[in-house]
Amino acid sequence: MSNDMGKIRVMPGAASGAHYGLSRRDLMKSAAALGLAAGFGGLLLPGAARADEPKKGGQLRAGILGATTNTNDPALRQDEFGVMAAYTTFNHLVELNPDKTIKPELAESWEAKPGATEWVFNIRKGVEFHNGKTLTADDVIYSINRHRGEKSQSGAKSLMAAIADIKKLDANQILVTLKSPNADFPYNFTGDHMAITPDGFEDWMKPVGTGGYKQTSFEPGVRATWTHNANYWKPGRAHVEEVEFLVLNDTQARIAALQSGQIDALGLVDPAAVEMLKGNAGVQVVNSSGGQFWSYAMNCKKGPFTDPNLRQAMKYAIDRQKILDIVLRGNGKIGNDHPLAQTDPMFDASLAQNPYDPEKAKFFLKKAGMDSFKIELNTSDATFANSANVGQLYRQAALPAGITIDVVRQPADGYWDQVWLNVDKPLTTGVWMGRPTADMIMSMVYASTAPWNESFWSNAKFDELLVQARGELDAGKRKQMYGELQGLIHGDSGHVVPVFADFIDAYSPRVKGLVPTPSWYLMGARFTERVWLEG
Amino acid sequence: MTAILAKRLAMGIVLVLLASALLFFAGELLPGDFATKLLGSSATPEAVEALRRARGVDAPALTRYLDWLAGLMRGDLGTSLTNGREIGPLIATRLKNTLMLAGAAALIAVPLAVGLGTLAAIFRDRLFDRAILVLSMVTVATPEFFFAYMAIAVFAVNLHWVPSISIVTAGMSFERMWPLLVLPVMTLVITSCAHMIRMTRASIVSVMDSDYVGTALLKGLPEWQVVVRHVLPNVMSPIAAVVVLNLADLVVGLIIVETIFAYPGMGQLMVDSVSKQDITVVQACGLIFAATYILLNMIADLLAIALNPRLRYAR
Repeated sequence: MSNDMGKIRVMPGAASGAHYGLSRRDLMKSAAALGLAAGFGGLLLPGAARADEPKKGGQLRAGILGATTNTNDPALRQDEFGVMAAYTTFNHLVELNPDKTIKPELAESWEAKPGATEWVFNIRKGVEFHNGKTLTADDVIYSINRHRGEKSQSGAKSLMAAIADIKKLDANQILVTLKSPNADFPYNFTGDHMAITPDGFEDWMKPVGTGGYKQTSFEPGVRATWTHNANYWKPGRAHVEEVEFLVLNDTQARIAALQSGQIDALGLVDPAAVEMLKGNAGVQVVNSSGGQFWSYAMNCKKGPFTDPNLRQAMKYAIDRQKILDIVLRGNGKIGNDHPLAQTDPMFDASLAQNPYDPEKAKFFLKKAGMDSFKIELNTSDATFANSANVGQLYRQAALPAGITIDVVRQPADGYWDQVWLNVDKPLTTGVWMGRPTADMIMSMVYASTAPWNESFWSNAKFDELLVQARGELDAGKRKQMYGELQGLIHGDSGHVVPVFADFIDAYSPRVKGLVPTPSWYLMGARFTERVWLEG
Repeated sequence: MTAILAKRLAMGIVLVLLASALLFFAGELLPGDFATKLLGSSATPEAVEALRRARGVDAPALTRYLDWLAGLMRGDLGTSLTNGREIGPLIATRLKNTLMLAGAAALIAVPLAVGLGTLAAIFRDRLFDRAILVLSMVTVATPEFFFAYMAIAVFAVNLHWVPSISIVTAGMSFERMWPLLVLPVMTLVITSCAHMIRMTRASIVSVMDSDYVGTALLKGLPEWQVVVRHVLPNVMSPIAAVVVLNLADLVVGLIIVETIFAYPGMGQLMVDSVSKQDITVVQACGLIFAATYILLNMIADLLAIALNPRLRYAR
């Protein structure tokens, strides 16, 4: 079902009784497509896969980044803790698969009316919340509306601003009307903010959801525990008996906790620690190659980079492979100055790679009427670790082209508020986590009116095509349109994308059922539902 | 005596007030904002504005400072900027944990340090004294995190004797709790002993060298009587002062140790809140640390006065 991207109009409710885990064929395919860490490959051999029937029970302990400021409120959740907890306690309307396709979760099916502005969602019947209440359309509408309107403080406010109206058709059916057509709209309901809670629910210290685990304790910034929801509606999921999140923020302490066997799962592993962890008996390191990328934003509105030739020169003056090898130690892929990873369904493989070519950079410098060029690059640890060192690598690579990059290390506090997205800064550093769809990341960063258009790029053709692609329901045409959009970003925009950084996770030997998942850390934040424990 | 006490107390209150002003306005100077931190990649201008308004941080700084002070007078520490929860109960559990950890460390460190210092004084310039000297220099010169990571590497990762993460929870039994405290307490004892050892040794040595001890010995008093009647009363005052000051250091110096071992105390709370720019919580923590430090300093002073008649009648 999920592989059939032909017409997205109807996502059948065939899921009833379907096998919820991935089939082995799917598993092999995604493993091949995503690329596995060396130490992990053996797990997915057919023989091993057959032996790995999910086992019930056990206690799964994870080291999670968090703070005392964390809450279970889906609107205000933050940090790794908020995301991981959301997928443990709650369900969402739609589930994101490891191959970035979607499948029904609390919505058992959906359908777009022609034009893709009106969407009907059928709510799954017979699902019960942890407090025994039966799920209805009212709960869903309440959960969505918490992110809408003037007063909403939700992180999903801008995403939900696309909705013009929500109407209850009957107890298990809702109609969502959008302000403009969006063929990918169901993807908006996969995010962690969009957790479904009971109608009127506000007691976030004791959250109630429909998820595989009931939260039994919550000390913000310290720990949280869950027990298995015996009444869970989803077959073949949520295998363990107890889940415990320990809030661990210190880098060394996180690794030590895994090495000493105090935790079973750890996300956001530093690339520098990968080799060391692989040396530990049985520790499993899983690389997921996804949409997390670094960016250099050249200001297209003010300053030297208003000249497209200089933007071209900068794109040829960076040695992407060297950055990948040295800083990420190979845990990633080189970028091609657009936001789509090779694992993205809309990735255009025919687009030529921008190579490191100082001569060509020099050529574009000449075209801009210059022999040499000096520019200040703002970096900060607020973006990604080692950003100043990566800036130095850029500087070294650009020198032979006659470009002198002065690397400025800005303090992490205030970087996002004062330096980044500041129209007076010609060149800044950024980092992006990737989004479920090409439209989301492009609308967020590259459209001329986008809230985080960090390079102030404005291209009328791009803007127009982006809206067209969003409303297009034919998969073939969409793919071609997104190819063209990638081309426009790649060629003209003010973005240099040096690398895509893998999501790196590490697990203790007893954790089974691991699948690289390109959407985020710890199996797209759904590890508590998908893994099981051996022994 | 009451006059001195009142004067010290008044001075302490003025100092705490100064600290509160410093904390508040330093917080104001920080670049960035809790709302953008909280909303992260979803921080659109309108979401930030809505959150700021909901938490009342759009009022002028001076108004907010005076409100905060008025709240403090009523015993109200305010609410967290990021999640709107009350700070009082949050800090209560954290403070209890911090005092427990510091207390456990002090229970071991103080007798150990005073004992070793006394022994070093008795075996002055002999091998034992030299060894203690070198060891205490090394521990003073090495940062806490080094000992903490070494302890984790040896006792948790390699030997698997004790856990490397010390997350204690309310209602945990003593049997389950003590293994969690071993590594942080060990780190704290190692790093806090040195100063107390050196001061104890120095105090005893200086008194033993003084003329009146020589006179007492010469007039034929037995040595134990010399120590009890002449040496001890005179070293008590400096040793007590050093011990109390070290206790203050222990309480406010827990930040690094708590962070490394993920121990849910005040230090970790403060680090958390700083990283989220949850300024109200940072201010509350900072104020409690400042008050603790000032109070213990005051106690050290008063002890010194109480134990030393010369200071008592000085002014």
